[in-house]
This record gives sequence, C-alpha cells and structure tokens, in this order.
Amino acid sequence: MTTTTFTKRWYRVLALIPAAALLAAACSPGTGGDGDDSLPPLEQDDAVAEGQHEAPELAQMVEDGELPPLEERLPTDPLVVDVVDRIGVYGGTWRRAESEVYELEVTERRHIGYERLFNWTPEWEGGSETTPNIATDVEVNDEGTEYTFFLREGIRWSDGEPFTADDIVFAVEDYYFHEDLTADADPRLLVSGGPPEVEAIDDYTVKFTFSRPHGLFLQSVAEWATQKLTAMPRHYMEQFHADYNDDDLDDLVAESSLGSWVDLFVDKSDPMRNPDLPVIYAWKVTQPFGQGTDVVFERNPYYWKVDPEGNQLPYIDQHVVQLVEDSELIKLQAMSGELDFQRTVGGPADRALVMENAEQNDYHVVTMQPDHMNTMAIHLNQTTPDETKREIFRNKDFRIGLSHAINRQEIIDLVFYGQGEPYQMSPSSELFYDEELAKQYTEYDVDLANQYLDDAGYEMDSNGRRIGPDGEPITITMDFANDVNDDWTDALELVQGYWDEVGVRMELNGISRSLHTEIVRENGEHEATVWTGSGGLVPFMQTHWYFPSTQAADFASAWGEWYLNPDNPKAEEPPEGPRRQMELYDEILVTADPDQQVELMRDLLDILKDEFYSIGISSPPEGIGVVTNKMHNVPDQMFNSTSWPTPGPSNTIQYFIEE
Amino acid sequence: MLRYIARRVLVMLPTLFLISLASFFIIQLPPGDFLTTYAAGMGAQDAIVAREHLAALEERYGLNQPFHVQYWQWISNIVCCGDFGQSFEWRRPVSSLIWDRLTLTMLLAVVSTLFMWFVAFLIGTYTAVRQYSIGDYFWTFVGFVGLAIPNFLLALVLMYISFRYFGQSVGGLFSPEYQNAPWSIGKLWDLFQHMWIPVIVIATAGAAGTIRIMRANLLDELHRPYTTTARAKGMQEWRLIAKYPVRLALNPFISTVGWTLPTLISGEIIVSVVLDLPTTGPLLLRALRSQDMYLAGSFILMLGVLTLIGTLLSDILLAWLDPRIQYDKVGSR
Repeated sequence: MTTTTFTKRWYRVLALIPAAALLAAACSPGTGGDGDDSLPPLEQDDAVAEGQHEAPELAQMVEDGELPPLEERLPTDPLVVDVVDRIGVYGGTWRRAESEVYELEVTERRHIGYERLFNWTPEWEGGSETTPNIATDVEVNDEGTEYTFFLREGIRWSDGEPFTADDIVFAVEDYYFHEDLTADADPRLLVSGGPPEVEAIDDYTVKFTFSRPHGLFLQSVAEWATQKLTAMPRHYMEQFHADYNDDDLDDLVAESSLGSWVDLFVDKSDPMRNPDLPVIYAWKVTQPFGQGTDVVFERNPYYWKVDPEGNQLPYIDQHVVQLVEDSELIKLQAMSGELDFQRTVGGPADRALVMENAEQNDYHVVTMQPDHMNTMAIHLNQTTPDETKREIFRNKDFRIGLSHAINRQEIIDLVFYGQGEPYQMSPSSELFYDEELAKQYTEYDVDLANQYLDDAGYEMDSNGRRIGPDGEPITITMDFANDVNDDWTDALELVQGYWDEVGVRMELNGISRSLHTEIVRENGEHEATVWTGSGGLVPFMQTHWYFPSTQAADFASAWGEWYLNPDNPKAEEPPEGPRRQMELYDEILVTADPDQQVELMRDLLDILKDEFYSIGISSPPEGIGVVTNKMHNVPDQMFNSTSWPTPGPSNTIQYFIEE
Repeated sequence: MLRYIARRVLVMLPTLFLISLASFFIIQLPPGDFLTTYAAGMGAQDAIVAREHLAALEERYGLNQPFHVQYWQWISNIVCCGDFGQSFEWRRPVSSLIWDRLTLTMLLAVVSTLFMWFVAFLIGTYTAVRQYSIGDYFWTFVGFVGLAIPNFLLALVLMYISFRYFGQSVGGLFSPEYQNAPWSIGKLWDLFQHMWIPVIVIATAGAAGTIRIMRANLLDELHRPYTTTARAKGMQEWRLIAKYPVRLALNPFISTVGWTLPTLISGEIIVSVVLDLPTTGPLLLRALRSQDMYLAGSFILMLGVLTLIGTLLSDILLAWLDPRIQYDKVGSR
C-alpha cells in the first residue's frame, strides 16, 4: 500500500502562516528591548530567554519556584498563532453572560477550548478547510482508510503531564467506543464501516485505520461532536474507569453520591464541572458550573501556543460567564458596556437600538454570518401518515404553486425588518452557491401559482377552495414550534393569507419546541412544519436539508429514517431522486480527494434543485455581537454556527484587553 | 396545647404524601420529559442528538421506568437519606443547588417582609386613627397604586432609575467587581445598594392588603367601650392606641407569618427573573420549563412542607399572642 503525504492545497497554504508570522515578528520591534536586528526568535530558547514572554503572574510564580520556567512548559515547536490586529498585552477579564443553561455549558467548546488535532480555519470556506493544531501533519493513504497524525511534541496538560498519542487512544477505545460510555460519547463522526482501529506508533504518532474509507475524517475531527477526542487525560481519567481501576472505584462512586461509575466518569471528564481535570485549553475552570451564578476560568500556565513574537498565549487572564435569568438582561448589559465580547445580542428587531448606543457606551458591533439558510423554510412532509396528503405533497407542481403564491418581499418588510432577500433552501457558502437553486420559484405571481396548482390537478370549487384527490377541500395542518423564533407566527399568518387566495387552507398549530421535537423529529407525524435550515455554510457536515439524511429532514422524515437504518419500522424506501442523492453522499464519504468531494456535492445539489423539497422564504439577516472598545483582536465578522463553534476557530486566545 | 401540636403534625404526614405524589405527577403531565426538552434545545441550535445517545440517557436517568417506580426511587431516597437526587440539567445534587441560593433568598424575604410590615403598620394605624382625612385618602391611594402596578413593571422602572440616575449596574444583587469576591464590608454595602429595588417592589405589592386589614381591625377596636373608658380616665391618646387597640389589631400580621415561609424558597419569581436575582425562584422556573423532574419536584415538595409548617407556626403564635384563641374547642378546626 502506498502512502502519500496529504496534499490539500489550502492546507499547504495554511501551513505557511506560522512561518510568515515569524517573519513578521522579525520585522516588528521585539519586546527584547536591545534594538536587536538579529534573526527572528526561531529557536524557542531565544524567544523565551528573557522571561518576558509570559504573563507577569506566571513569571512571578517561576521566580518563586512554584512553576517550571516557560521553556520547559512550552512545546519544542509551539504553534504560532497570527493575531487579527496587533500584538496584545497580558491581563484583564473577558466578561460574558448567557441566559440558557445549555449555552453556558458549551462555553468550553465555543470560547475556551476549541483544540482539535486539526481545527477549522478562521475563514472556513465551505467547510472543506482544516488547519494543523495539536497535530502538525497528517498522512493519508490513497484510499482514505489510514490517517496518521503527527502530534506536536511537548504539549502539556494543565498539570504539567505530557500530552501523548496514548491520550488519544484512550479517548477512542475507552471512551468513544467503550460499550458503557459510547452512548454518552456520540461517536457518529468517528465511524466508517465500524469503529476505527487506533494505534499509538510512538509517543507523538497516532494512526487511525478504518475498514471503509472515511473521506470526511479531517473535517470530522474539527466538528462539534468530536471535542472529547483530545480532552481525555489518560493519567487522570484512568482512576475513574472500570477497566483500569479495580481497587477503589466503588468507593469513589459511593463517595460522589452518583449512581454508577459511568456517571462518575462523565462528571469527572467534564471541564466545566471538574476543576481538577487536566486540560490543554488556554483557560481552566476555577469556579465550576452550578456553583453560584458565574463560571470562572483562569489562565492555564502550560498553554502551548505563542503569538508571532513568541509571547505565550492567552493574553487574557480570566474568563467569566454569568448566568442571567432572562435574555433581555444580556441586551441591557451589552448595551451598557458590561460584556467584553458577546457573540449574539438580541435579534433583528434590536439591531438599530444596539447600534445607536454603541458610541455612548464605548462598544462596537461585530457581525455574525448565520449558518442557516433561511429565515423560515416550509416543509410539507412527503411521508406524512395521511395517504391523501402524501399524494398531494409529493406533487411537485403543488409545491411550486404554493411557492409562487407567497409574497416574500412583503414578509421581509413586515416581519424581518426589511433584512434579507427572497431565498430558497440553498447553500450560502460561495463554494456551493447556485443562483438558480437559491431563487427558483421565489417570484410572487398569483396567476402563475394558480396555473401550477391547476396543473397539479386540484381544481377550485365554487367557494374558491381547491379540491384534493379524495374530493375534500385541501387543508394543511402546520405544526410549528412557537417558542424557537418570535417571527414565525407572524410570518406564517401572512403565508396563510397568501395560500387562502389560491384556494389552499392552512391551519396553524403553534406548539412548544419539546412537543415539536416529539411529533416532528421523533415520530415524523406532522403534515407540515417550519425550520431554519442549518448547514448553509457547510453542506458536507449538515446534510439533512439537502437530502433526507436523518429523521430531522422534516420534508420526508421516513426517508431519512430509511437512510439511517432501512430496518427501522418507521423507515420507508425513498423514490429515485433522493435515492440517487444518498448514493452520491455515500460516495463522498469514501472519497479521499477533496476536489472530487466538491464535485459530488454539486451533483447532489443539482438533484435538490430538481426535487424542490422545501419552500424557503428569505435569506437570514446577519446577527450582531457586541465588543467593548477595550477588547481587541476580535474579527469584525465571523460565522455563527455549531459546526464551526463560534467564536472558537477565530482564535479567542489572541483577544486582549487594553483600556 | 402539646396534644394539639402532636395531632396537627400527625395529620401533616398524609397531606405531605399527597403533596409529593401530586407534585411528581403534575411535573410529568406535559408532553415529553427532560430529554425531549434537551433534544429540542439542541435542535434549536441545529445540533441533532443521536437516538442512541437519548436512549442511553433515558436509561441512565431512569426515565423509561413507569411512574410508580420513578416516584418510589425519588421519595424513598428523600425519606431514608435526605437525598433529593440529581438535577438533570445542572448535573449536580438538587440539595446543593437549592442551598447555594437559599441564604440570599431568605435575606431578601426577611428584609422585605419586615419592611412591608413596618410600612403597613404605620400607614394602617395612621389611616384608622385619622379615618376619612386627606392623609387617609392619600396613603390609601398610595397603597392601592402599589398593589395595582404589576411587580415586574415597577421593577423595570426602578431598574431604569437606578441605572440612569445612580449609574448602577443592571440586574443582580452585586456589582460585577463584587460578584465573586469574598464577603467584606464593601460587598455588604454593595448588596444593600442593590437590594432596595427588590425590597421596595416586593413590599409595595403586599403592603396594601395588610394596610387595609390593619385599618379595618383597628377601626373596630377604636370604638369599643374599653377605649372610651381609657380615654375618659385621661390616658394619653397615642399611648392608649398603641397599648390596647393596636395590640388587638396585630393578629393579621401574625397569621400571615405562615405564608411568608413558602415565599422564602419560591421567592417572587417574576421580580427575581426581571431583576436577575440569584434566588431560588428563577431556579424553580427554569426547572419547570426544562422538565428537570427531581429539581422541580423537590422544590414543590419543600414548598408544601414549608406551607404546612408555616400554617402550624402561625396558629401557635396566634394562640400565644391572643389568649382569647383556644384550640381545645372541639370542631373549631
């Protein structure tokens, strides 16, 4: 078997960044201070010799003998992170607030600990780029079945122990695929033809072998769900694992008042809850989640990245997140300049207000490009239990007719504050943008709509109602979650009016989002529903709005079930078009060449254009975040996504605070 | 007396059992459970939770068990070991979550109750003694305005005033710099600077009722023969009123002591949410919304217990304060 070095063109370009950054450092005045024009501090000995390349508290601790010197804490070849604007200064606290427990809990993934083998790039074009992070390099065989990662030597956990290939083997074998823990771990993205075989070739080389090619593995290790792959300190976690601790695990469980060792293991491996857990993140929790209303993180002295001048990161000392009781308070606090960087503040309605107060209260606004494709996409469930409705919904002319009947501009003006433009369910990333897919059938034309609906075979009766194949007037029941998005009720009432005009009645049934989850997502019993459509920027990873890839494909839940598992009693075999899409996606999964993956994805999207599953309304407006004027190096624009865990990949470690 | 107390305590036991059963039942009434709420929350973030993951969590949390099994697990742990279980959402023991917030909640409840009593006592006495005077109308009007303005609105207005004119940080009981600081004189002062808003809001809402009761009771007493007699004997007017009629009119204060106990932990939920107070009320609201069964159930159970204890306490206090009240009369309760 031939093994070639992995050659992604973007990856090569990105690999140059650290080198370029070092050169830039050579040209800028160093903090060394003797006006030296000598070579850049390529050798880390030079870079850290003065002891001025770390936070003053850490330097003090080194002096007092409480901490080894910086050069012993940093890797031999620390990752050099480019700064957005300029080299920062040490100190300060980054204050944030969240109103949902769930959002507070993901602080680790989003804000303080986005540390993977390969990370998404800050630019994130189409979700096809990743950049070396913990790994410095990867070798992939031609088939895409073997991935060999070369880890950066000398990365240390926050307790000073080295981070090695063994930690990754532990995470895969004893966490992701351990029979008792696997359900908690959610290893979907690590599977390709079964669990991988993982082998630590030496301390800093780890090899994954799949029985089937895993074409999206490098993207997968950068994704939301694979956080724990690099967050399991073997030397610490073994004591809580049944396979490794026969002596006193039962005592530990009893002591903790948790039910089982699984609960204990999950609890102890949680960097938000366990201050003793060693991490490789820039900050480490000191006041854990659930104690009081704040969660507090402090700088990790063993963090392994430096800025272009060789200063150890992060710049910011402390990260404090406050749990507030209502999201209105976040708005108020942000507008009074109390939150240093809050990634989303209010909705479209608050935009003007937030901007207005910016100057007076010393903050500025950054924009967040949404990952979802639509403000509100209407899904008619083609596998709904009612046979008549099924027949109607599967009629493409019917869907086209309904799409033309909608006055999108009016909805945008009245409900979405004039922000956005008429838009179907279509990727928004440049790599996959397709004008026709985005705009087809969005024109408001009642005559054309009536013509399509006539063609569909549903004639109007004397009352102006269209009659379905069962001889009854057509009425669609819309089960929508009314507590996800404030605008949906208003927008749907408008749609109701437009459709009435062309003879199709819609009954609105607003329900709570948990009931929605049960009816729509778990059982697929709905006739119609609405949602936003994630994956607009990263079609590879979030596919269920492009073809029925999971039960969350609301336009054909049972086909999604079929793709997941044909034996599921709820599953139904899809027709030709979606079948072909599934085959194409299967092909993407086993394709190692990224260019070919893009081609296949385009073919898949062509079928989407032809199938026209869902009726979109408009493109989503940009979100806004708030940054105080003393917070620096925050990019003016970033993505708002879970795949790209905002703002993690924008390198929060190089943000800094200067009054 | 002791027999009476013993009997009351005995009767409390079945009541408590019914309360615990009902609260556990009611929490499970809405469709779905904590996991559907959790999955829905993830779904709103466009993160789709795997079926297997949910199934495993269901197993771990015991949510797939029938009602009586879940109830038994919960209640038997409470009765035998005082263990209220784990909160699903916070993944921390329920008791520690509640304890964390109890101190400030109690402080707030006690201070605002005392403040309310103080105001109501003064106004109530004044308006009764000066019935139908301008002052009576004015203070009665003030009292009713306090009752009529929704608490959250008053909270918002006061918050705006404190932010606009006193430059205080918005929401919470502490300024950011004291949020995580250890207790000190500075922190205490900071607390009192923030606490006046919730204290005023909560007190104005409750004051009107107490003012009216105080006024009515006092009016009854003011024209009794013993008052006239005392006055005829040349007793100083204010001393007379304070010594005799007021003491008799105080009963409603005591009989409502019992009701303040449950508010110690439920707090003024809406006010606390609006003002972002780190008290137990918002925690209860959150638990109910996310169907965090054990946390919400334990809350409601504790509310029940405190209501029962509170009622008993005020009954005992009343008997102690007012010798006319006797409990041994059969059929009176």
